[in-house]
Amino acid sequence: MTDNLSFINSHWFWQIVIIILAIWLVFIWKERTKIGKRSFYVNCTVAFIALLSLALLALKPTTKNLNKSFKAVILTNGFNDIQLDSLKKVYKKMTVYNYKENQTLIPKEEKPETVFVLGNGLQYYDLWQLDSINTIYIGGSTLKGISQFKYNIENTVGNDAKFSGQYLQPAKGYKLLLADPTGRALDSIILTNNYVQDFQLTTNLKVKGEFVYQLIEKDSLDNIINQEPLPLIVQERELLNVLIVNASPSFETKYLKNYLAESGYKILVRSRLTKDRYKYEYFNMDSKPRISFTQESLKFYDLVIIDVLSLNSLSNSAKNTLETSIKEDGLGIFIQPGANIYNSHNNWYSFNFTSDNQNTTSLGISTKSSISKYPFVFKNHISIEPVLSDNSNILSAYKRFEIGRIGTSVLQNTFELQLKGDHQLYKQVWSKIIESISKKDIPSVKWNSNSQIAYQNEPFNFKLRTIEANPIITTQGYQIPMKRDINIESLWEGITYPKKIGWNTINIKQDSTNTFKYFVTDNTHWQSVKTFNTIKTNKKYFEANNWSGIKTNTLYKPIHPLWFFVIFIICIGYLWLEPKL
Amino acid sequence: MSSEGKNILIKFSKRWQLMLGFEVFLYAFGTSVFVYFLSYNFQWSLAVFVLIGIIASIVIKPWTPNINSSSNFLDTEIDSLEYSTGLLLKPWESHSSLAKLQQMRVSNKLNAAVKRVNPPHHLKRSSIFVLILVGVGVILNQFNVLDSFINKNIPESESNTIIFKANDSTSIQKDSPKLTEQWVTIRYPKYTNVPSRRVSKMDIKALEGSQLTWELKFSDTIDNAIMQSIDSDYPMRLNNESYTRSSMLTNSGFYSFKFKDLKGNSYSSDLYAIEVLKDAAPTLKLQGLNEFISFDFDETKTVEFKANIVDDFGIADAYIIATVSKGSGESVKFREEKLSFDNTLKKGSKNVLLSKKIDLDNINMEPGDELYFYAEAYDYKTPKPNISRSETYFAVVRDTTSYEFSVEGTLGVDRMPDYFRSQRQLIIDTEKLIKNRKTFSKEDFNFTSNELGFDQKALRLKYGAFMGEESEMAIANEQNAEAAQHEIEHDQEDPLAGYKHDHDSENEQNLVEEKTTKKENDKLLDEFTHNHDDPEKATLFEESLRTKLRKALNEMWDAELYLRLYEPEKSLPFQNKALKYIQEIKNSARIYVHRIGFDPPPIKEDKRLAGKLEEVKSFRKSETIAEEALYPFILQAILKLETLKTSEVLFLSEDIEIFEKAGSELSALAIEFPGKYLNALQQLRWIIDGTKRNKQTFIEVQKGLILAIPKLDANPAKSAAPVNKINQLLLKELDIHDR
Repeated sequence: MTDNLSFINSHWFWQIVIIILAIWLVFIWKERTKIGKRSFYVNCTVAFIALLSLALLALKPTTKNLNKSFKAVILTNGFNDIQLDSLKKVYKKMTVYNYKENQTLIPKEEKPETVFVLGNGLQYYDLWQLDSINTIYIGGSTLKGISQFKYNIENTVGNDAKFSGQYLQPAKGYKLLLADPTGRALDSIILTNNYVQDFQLTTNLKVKGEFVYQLIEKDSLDNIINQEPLPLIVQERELLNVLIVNASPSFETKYLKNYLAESGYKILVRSRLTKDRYKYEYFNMDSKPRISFTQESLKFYDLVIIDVLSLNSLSNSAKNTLETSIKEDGLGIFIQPGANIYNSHNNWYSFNFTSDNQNTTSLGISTKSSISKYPFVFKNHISIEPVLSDNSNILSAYKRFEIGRIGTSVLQNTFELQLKGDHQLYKQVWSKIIESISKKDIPSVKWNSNSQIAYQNEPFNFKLRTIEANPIITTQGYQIPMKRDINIESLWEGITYPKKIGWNTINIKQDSTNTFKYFVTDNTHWQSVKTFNTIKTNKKYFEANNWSGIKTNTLYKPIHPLWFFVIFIICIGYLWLEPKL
Repeated sequence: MSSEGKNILIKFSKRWQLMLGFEVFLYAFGTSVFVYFLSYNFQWSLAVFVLIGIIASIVIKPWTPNINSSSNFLDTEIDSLEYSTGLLLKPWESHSSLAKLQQMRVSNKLNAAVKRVNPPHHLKRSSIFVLILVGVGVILNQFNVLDSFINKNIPESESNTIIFKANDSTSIQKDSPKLTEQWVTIRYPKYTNVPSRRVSKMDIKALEGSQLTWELKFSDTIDNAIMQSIDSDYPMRLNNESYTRSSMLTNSGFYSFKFKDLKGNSYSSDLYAIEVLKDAAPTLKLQGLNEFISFDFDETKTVEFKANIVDDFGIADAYIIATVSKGSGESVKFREEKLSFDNTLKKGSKNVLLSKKIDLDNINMEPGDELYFYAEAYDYKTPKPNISRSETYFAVVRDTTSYEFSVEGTLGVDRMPDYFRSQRQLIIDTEKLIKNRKTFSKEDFNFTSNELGFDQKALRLKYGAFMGEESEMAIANEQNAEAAQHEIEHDQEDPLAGYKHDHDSENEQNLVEEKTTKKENDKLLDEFTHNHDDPEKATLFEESLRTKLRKALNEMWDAELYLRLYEPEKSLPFQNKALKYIQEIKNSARIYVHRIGFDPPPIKEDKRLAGKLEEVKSFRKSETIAEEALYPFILQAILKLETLKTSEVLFLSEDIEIFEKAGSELSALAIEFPGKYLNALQQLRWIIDGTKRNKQTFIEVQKGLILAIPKLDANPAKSAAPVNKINQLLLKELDIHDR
């Protein structure tokens, strides 16, 4: 009993007990004349009951509501009638709730013992409502359409934008088209009749700016079924400053520098002609800096391309500066391979290789053309990050030195590709290598969001990495409160509820040049992906909550005070009337 | 009473006049309808109508019938009038009573008679004339008989009316000025003799150098009119109520019109294309002769040919350039002559056939001389005529007196007549014989085989001569050679032999003589052989050469044997062996000469490997070879259109500037690929003018612009990677533990 009873005003318990006992004792003392008589005992008992109810009025007892436990069903979008019927068969008395986004799901006083969720599930921002309830997520009918979709919302001019995704239960003959902002189809895929089909659409980005590409789904008669926006932010290429140091002029360097210089990069080439005599070539540079291996002068460059001979012959202090430049300033170093690189193991800049006795290879990006290489491949190691590889062998890789990178490759005479006329592959190879190794910009503010697209009037989570101590984030004149990550000092998190459809911006007050652009669409777009994600989060969420076992519903309900009052009145009435009768 | 009769006469004469007038009208109408059917030109037919009307009325004179002539006519026509109608013309008062009575009678009769009588006319004739003319006109018109005639006389009625759109679409008013007339006059260059054309179609195709004149006429007065080409605006001059502009056609392009009304609203038109046609060079074809002709000395040396020359606008001149070369080698001399064709060229004709007969004797050609000639023609194009020439033809008078050593192709030998076949040739022939055995009759086969056997023998004898073998069989060459030899031998015999007594020295002399002949023989063979009997001369090398030749001859014997036995198959292996030996012999006789290479000058010993670098300098060069970005304004315009498309942004004047520049970038492309970009260019023009600024146009233009941008190459770019303390710590730790 005591388990089931508790008091709301339990902190007054002892005071009230003492007062009540005191009053009762006074009452007994007043009734002492009737000791021994039957009425004495009756009166004392009645008085006690009256006092007790008075005390309970003050203490407000509550009882555990065990009897009232029941089962409920929440119906969300896409639920299955058959599932609902079979549930109703098993549990006769079931309450049915209809889910509405962003609204209270279950009234406060009703606490069902178990809740079944049917259909696609609750939006992630409504899940908390079922935190205290034992919930079983059943799901609904299987999903059709695009279930997953991934692409980089930010990209650079000249790169290929890749859009990859998964389509569940495609109808035969349906087509997916990637269309540019004007609706011109750029790439397409025909869906087959598989259960799951993965797809990838690609296009080359030619113009910088913010664009909304389209993913169009058409049936076999070319009727448009769906049209989903694909916001893309295309940025201008940022050019690199490259220093090339060679112990002797080589064709490899000649072609590489021509390629880079034609693309507009600032390049300084120093190749040794003979002892202490060099040939300096400045491309696209206004000034003619001297080459000195000091940390200060190296700051200008994003990448140093150096051959093994030159690197080995650098003075110790120059080598050390180079190392600190990599570690502290993030400089990238590409070591042009030579036969002697494969034998040296004891320098900080050396890599481990294994011999594979093959002099040619073909790259994953273009399996048709073969490239000559040294008969070695990289030894796979945790510290090595591959850049280029054929099937299983790493052909080009780098390792990190704090924030900088140092890399090399086993390819040799790549200029042969140019001579063969395979300019595209040559450019691809080198742009991949250079881009991965060269110095990275360290932005003062870096915005980030898990979701590509925001929906109107729905919460949009975003993250912010900044070195600012107290970033002030605003959007359309409102300030957004930010939450700092517990572990990472520079990481902040915020939520906003966009109202306007189209491109929206979030600004940081400390850096007005840096704005975060995101695309907001209405709720009709990307439904299938959204649904798929909802199902996934629901499953995950409720599975995680379920393992803790069935929770008893401990609902303490206050006993209505009127009961005590009635008892009190009756008892007092008796005591008042009894002498008069 | 009298006036009544007079009235009838007046009426009658009026009717007469009317009928004649109607006759005139019918003639005029008939011809004018006919002309209209032919020409479809109302003005022309009206002119014809008036002209024929005048002529016909002069001939018919419809005004001549008057009261007197009608009364005369009626008197002669109707007997019952008793020649008294004249009475009606005179005043009542002046008549005698009888005359009055007669006048009244006549007047009554006339009233009844006039209805029966018609004035003289040829209405039937004229209506038949009209019917015929109209019928013929309809028929001619149906069959378009005179279409070509029409086209020349009458401006082309094919019209694409210029549609002007108000640039500010909100202020479209009903009373905006309308275009009433639009004309382009194309005046071809004078030399073409093409009459100038006046068309209303604004897409122009015309010859380079033509003079173009545009004329626009508006219903209301307007402020100004401008012709816009791709990069500039040209104001049009007001001339006689129409706006005109003239220009010389130099290159293809696009243009549009724009005008401003008095209220300041501006209107602009679609884009029209100008296509420049180039005057083609004349084409020349010489017919009836080969590229290389040779004549013997005693032949009639004439070259006869026809030249067909075609040009699009007429040929100005044509002639033949002939060059005669005399002599050879360093003493060669050239003489050039300009010859005209035999028949005169009708200047300005477009297609001519000219002929020419060149007598080589007339141009002093001797044996061994060569004549090169070609025809040349040019047209009237100004300032610089198009010239074209035919291929060059050769005529040679053979010189039979000289024999030239020639080196041809791969054959580095002087080709001699084949007196005998080589071993290789024999093998080829034998193989051929075996292969074609089935096609030969047995006799033929045997004969050919035997012939080959003979050839084999001839070859063997030839080689045998080197070995000092005797030729016992007479073959043409050998025989001659032997005969010659015999002669020589005879000559060399003692001239005194006849006079001497042989017996004097019979033994010795004979012996000696025999020796000398033998010696002679030896000497002859000395060139080729070595005397094996003389061990001093014999070498190992020479011996093997000789044995090889011996072997080859043996094989040839066998080869011949089987050929003679009609078994060429069996003969082949021997032939092959023989060939092998002969080849070996040939190779062993070859002399190899070293190539002469570069002989470097001697290096001074004291300068070698000194390691001095004073004169070696470091070298610096600076270059800017970054490639310019293509179409910078198109890129900007695409971006601008994207914002215009997606959000309600106002159109700024800077935007127009960007679009203008993007337009000129695009138009360069549009000239090359009009099908691809013309539409976008057109709509871009609308956006610039403000005619159409809606989402649809923005999308269309953006589509065209994006299409214009080529695919970019892969280029490395700087990427961003944020750094935070925890990452850095981790990397540092990794770095430390990795060592």
